Amino acid sequence: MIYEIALDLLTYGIFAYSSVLLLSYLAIGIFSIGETQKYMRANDITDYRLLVSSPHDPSVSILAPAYNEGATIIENVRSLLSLYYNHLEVIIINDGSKDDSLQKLIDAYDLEKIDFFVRYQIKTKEVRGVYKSRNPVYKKLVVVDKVNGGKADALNVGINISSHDVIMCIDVDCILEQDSLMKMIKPFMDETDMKVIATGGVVRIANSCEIKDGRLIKVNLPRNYFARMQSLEYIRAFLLGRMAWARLNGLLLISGAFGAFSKDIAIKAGGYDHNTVGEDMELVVRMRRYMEEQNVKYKVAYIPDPLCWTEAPESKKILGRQRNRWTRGTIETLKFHKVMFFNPKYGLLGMVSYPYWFFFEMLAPLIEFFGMIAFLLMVCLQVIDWRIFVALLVFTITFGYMYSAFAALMEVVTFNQYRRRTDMMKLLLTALTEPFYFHPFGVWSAIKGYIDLIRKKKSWGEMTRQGFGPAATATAPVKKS
Amino acid sequence: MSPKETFLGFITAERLYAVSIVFGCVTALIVLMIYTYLYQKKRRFFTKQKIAAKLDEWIGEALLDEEGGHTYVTSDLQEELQLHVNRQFAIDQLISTRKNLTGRAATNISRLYEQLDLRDDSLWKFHNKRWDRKAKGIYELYMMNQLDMREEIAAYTNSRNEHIRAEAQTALITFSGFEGLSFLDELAYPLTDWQQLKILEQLKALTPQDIPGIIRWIRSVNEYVVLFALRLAEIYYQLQVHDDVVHCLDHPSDRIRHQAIITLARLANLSTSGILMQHYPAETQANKRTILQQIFKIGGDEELAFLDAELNNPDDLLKLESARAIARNCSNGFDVLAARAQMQPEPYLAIYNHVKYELKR
Repeated sequence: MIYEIALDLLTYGIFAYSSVLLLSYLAIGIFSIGETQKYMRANDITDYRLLVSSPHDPSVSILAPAYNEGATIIENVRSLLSLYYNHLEVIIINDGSKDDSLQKLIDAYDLEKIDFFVRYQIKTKEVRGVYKSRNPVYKKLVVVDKVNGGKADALNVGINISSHDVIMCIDVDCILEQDSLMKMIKPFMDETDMKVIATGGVVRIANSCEIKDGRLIKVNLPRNYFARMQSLEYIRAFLLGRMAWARLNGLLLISGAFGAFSKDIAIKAGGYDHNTVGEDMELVVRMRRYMEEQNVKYKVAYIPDPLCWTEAPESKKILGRQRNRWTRGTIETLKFHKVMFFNPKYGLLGMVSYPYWFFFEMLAPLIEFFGMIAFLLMVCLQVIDWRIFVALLVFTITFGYMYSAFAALMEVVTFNQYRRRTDMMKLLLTALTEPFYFHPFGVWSAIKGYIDLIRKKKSWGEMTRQGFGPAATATAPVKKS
Repeated sequence: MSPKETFLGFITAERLYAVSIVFGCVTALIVLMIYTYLYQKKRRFFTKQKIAAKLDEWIGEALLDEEGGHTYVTSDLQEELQLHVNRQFAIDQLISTRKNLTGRAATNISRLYEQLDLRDDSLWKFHNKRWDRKAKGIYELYMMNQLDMREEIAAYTNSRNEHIRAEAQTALITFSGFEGLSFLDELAYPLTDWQQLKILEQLKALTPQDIPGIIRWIRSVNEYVVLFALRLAEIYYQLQVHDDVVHCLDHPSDRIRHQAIITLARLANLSTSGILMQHYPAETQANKRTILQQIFKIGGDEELAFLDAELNNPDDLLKLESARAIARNCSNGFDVLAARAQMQPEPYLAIYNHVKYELKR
């Protein structure tokens, strides 16, 4: 009797969970259409060139932490300095690199160590020096050398050093579109009764793309399977998921590779937390929590244009580490802010966003994993209704394909980065393999993330990158701080 | 029937397969849509190239036509321009060209737009109920300088829809310059920073004139109008609003007080620093910083005692701003800072060195 009840609970529990998850996906798909359409229509008549030379635009500081990026740092900085924006300062934070990154910057940009009063508004590791160029051409560039303390600590140093109103946190090796800053800043200028505390942007996969002098010349679909799969995954996440959450004003995550924040609120919320490997999500959650607790109306905006291009892991090993870290980051962030869980005091944040992340982002791999174990047990005990099982499996897989195809359609009718029909064919064919290879691999990596968290592992893990250009391909592996 | 039986009766394998088939069909349909869309896009690309080539030819003629009486043989593109997407492409191309032109050449581009009957398309959009079409219609009409539409468009400067409102306001400035600012009298909705910047950039191209309504706008109940008026007063040096700007220093909105501080410093007279120092204690940290930055620009030896006291402020940013102002404005500023640094090296030595480096540059 007890065995039967337990079995029923498990069956119906997982069924109910899956049903809510599928309904959420449907809702996300529908919401994203509305929000994307609204953005595209409004964007159609927006002339961003106004911001190129206007003296009235908000001032922006780009914060780019760098750890052992010597192989590509010069090109990366040149790319950042070429962005179209008037009131801009580019702050490169050398997070105690063991390579020659700093010396290379000093030589390439004619830097000199300057007397700089560092205001430790947020507590960080010691700043060893601040450098500026003697050459007025590079007057926007500030290089900070600090004791190694990790990415969050480096970003906090950047916040402390920055002299502008909006901070744009990016990965130094990302390729940004020339107009990316203008598009990211506009939501701050559209603010009315709601304070815009942050803007998130789309990150796309740059593998196999043509890059020259730090600029994206031609977009290609990644040749590598894992990178191609991630292209589809990113389209789904950025064009559907985040767009839908933006419509609800419930966005909890802005990619660490590309996000703009109100400096004032970031400081008031305490800056980045270096006790988590998911510092990007944690900051957004904390800033939102701060605004809720202050009872101030606010908004986290989101821009669906593909503005930032990054290199995705191409090997199983590196990809696994990345997913492991993302899982740990999510769990840590949700744990830090558990007070908001179904807490009506936090409005939509506490009642919808947080629970969604808890059940469908944090618990999903765990439930899938234990579901798989339960399935194997049931097979052994011969209690599986195979007819229903196969039907449910087909149902789930076809739903997944439909969702992926829908994401591809949204991409084609909006920003259409992969213009060749053969590219779309490859992307859609790759999607067919997802439920059998890529997805289970992601679940397994997440489970390893749980295990590492229990073991109190705090590191990012080695993140080897190939680099974009031919010169960079041969560079030594680097470790993200 | 128990809930379990009801459930099992509902979730049958047949039903699941049926829904899966629906999912499969929808997926196939989506894939078909993707391919059709990409195919059509490729076809449109070639048509657009043809239109662009012909437009380039016409634009070349328009640029050379100094009399303004040239007639374009529009029949060449008759077939292509029957399609809405192609007409829209032609409008976009003409707008993009006109943006970079002035005088006769720009007028000729507008004439070409009219001869191709593209104005009808813009009017159709303008009279459409959908916000994006109406906004785009307004945009096209003002970009093509269709002055006869001024009154009709003016009716939308206070529209509830932010996009229609913004385009109508921009249209008014395009048509009437500074006089177009009259919409501020009636504005009951927000005027975002983006829209303010857009208008200021438009005005920048014009010869500065008197702004008769500015006093009314500074006294407006709409905070956005007040903020914009303060910006206008700052940029166009509107001395007549000095007293109203001083009143704005007591406004409940932080942003308005912030802009009032900046505007007042721009309109500065002998009493300005005193007024700013008087308001300083009640201000937010951000506005305190702005006051110090403005005193940096307009201050003198008279502010030394105030600034010296502010060096003791617990906020490091305010300490630094005060030090900057002392170093720049007071005759023995650097000596004051050096003495402070000697007396208490932490943090004043770093502040002293920072300011010394900064001002040296």
